[in-house]
Amino acid sequence: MSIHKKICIIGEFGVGKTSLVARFVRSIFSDKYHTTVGVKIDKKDVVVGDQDVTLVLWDLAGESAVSALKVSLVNGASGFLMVADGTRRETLLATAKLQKDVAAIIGDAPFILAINKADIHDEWTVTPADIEAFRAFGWDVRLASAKNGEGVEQIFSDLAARLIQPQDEFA
Amino acid sequence: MKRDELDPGTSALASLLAAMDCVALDVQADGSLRIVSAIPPWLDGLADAEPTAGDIVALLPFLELFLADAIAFWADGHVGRLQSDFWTQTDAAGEEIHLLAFAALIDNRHLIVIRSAHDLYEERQRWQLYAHQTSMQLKLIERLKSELEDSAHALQTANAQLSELSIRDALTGLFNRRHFDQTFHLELNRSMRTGEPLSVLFMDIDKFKVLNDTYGHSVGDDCLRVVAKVLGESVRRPTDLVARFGGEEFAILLPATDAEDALQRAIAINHAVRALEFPNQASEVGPYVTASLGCYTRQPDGYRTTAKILEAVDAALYQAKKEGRNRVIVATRS
Repeated sequence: MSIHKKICIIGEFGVGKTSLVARFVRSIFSDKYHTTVGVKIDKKDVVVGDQDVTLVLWDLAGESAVSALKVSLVNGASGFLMVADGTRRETLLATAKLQKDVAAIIGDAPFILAINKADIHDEWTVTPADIEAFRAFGWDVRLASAKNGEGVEQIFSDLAARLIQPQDEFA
Repeated sequence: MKRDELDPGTSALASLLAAMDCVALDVQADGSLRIVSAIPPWLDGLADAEPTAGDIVALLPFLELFLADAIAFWADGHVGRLQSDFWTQTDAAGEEIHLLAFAALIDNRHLIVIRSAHDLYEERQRWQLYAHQTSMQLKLIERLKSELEDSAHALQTANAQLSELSIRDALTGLFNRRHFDQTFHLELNRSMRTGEPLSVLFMDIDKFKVLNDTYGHSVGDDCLRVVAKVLGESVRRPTDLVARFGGEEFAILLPATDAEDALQRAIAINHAVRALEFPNQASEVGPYVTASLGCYTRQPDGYRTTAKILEAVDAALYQAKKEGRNRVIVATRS
């Protein structure tokens, strides 16, 4: 029997949250930008060990000029994926506050920080030192590309594993 | 409960909602959900079932949160309706659908109505994108404006410094000859226009060449600096001006100063320079540095050109040197 796990995808406006989910769920990527309004919910069945798991992915609209990030939508989430855009360093720095905001609602839930747009690494403003600084806080920071799929499957797979397995296995 | 079991009022409501592409749920006191409308095409997964609340939430995951919000809304005694934000999910056919939910208390029935809102969603999407782009452009404009202001300020400061440097003598910090000439010209015009007296002093450090030859140019420069300081302290009004003409020659412009005052100022400067007791042992004038001064005060019928005035005051200075130095001579012609 499959168990359902809610995972929230959060991050600044335009970092590629929806594209990462589309790559993971439907193996597609579109260059055309569609801003998400409210929340977009997708499901994906995965197997962790011998357990069938249905990941219910809540892709929350990033904060914009007309809409604040609705952190309350993370209620009931078992874990979350934070997304930053490697070409916009400020989106990485913003994750520090996002993580606090989310933790204030759902507590110490597993999460991974994915820095998107690894396919255009030459254009990054995020530096290796930035990444190391976040890792020094114990964060699991991954590089990903929704465009070519780099890292995407592994990120969701690892996050799913943490949702159903004791945390100390990953210590 | 099947639709044919609904009372006529509810059945009419159900038909209306079906026509509007909505699904309506009646929230029961025990938390269970009862569908009181036709099942719209985008909710095909429920078409042939007597769904439980769990079945419905499994198909419409957003309800999990909205239901809790609605129950809290009703529990707080709110009237009117509660509206959700947009949410997007896929229907049974895998197509994207954009939905909105409303909660309302009608005739003591706790109803949740969910409607597809594709057009509204796209409009909101365009608006949100436009607002974001506009916000980004405004931020960019603000940043560029700030950088421009910083550059303008830096340029203004640099220009002010450059302007100040261009009118100063590098060694003594006094004004230079060029600035003296410009100011002198303006003050002469003012004097001729107002009839106020205008006084000019020329000063020469006596036997400065001897001092340089005796102690070296470095000491000579020190002497120029301390004498310049004495001169700078000798002027009190904002319109008074002290300049170094070059070498050991200095000029002092004293607007609106009559002959008697100008003479007293010249004598005071002569005494102050002597009081420095700056050594000049080889000078035949005395063991310390002294200064000679020429003094000229223009009266309303006096010279009308700067050249003539400078000639007159220079002649007075020459006379002071000729008479043995370390003294003040007033020009005879006013």
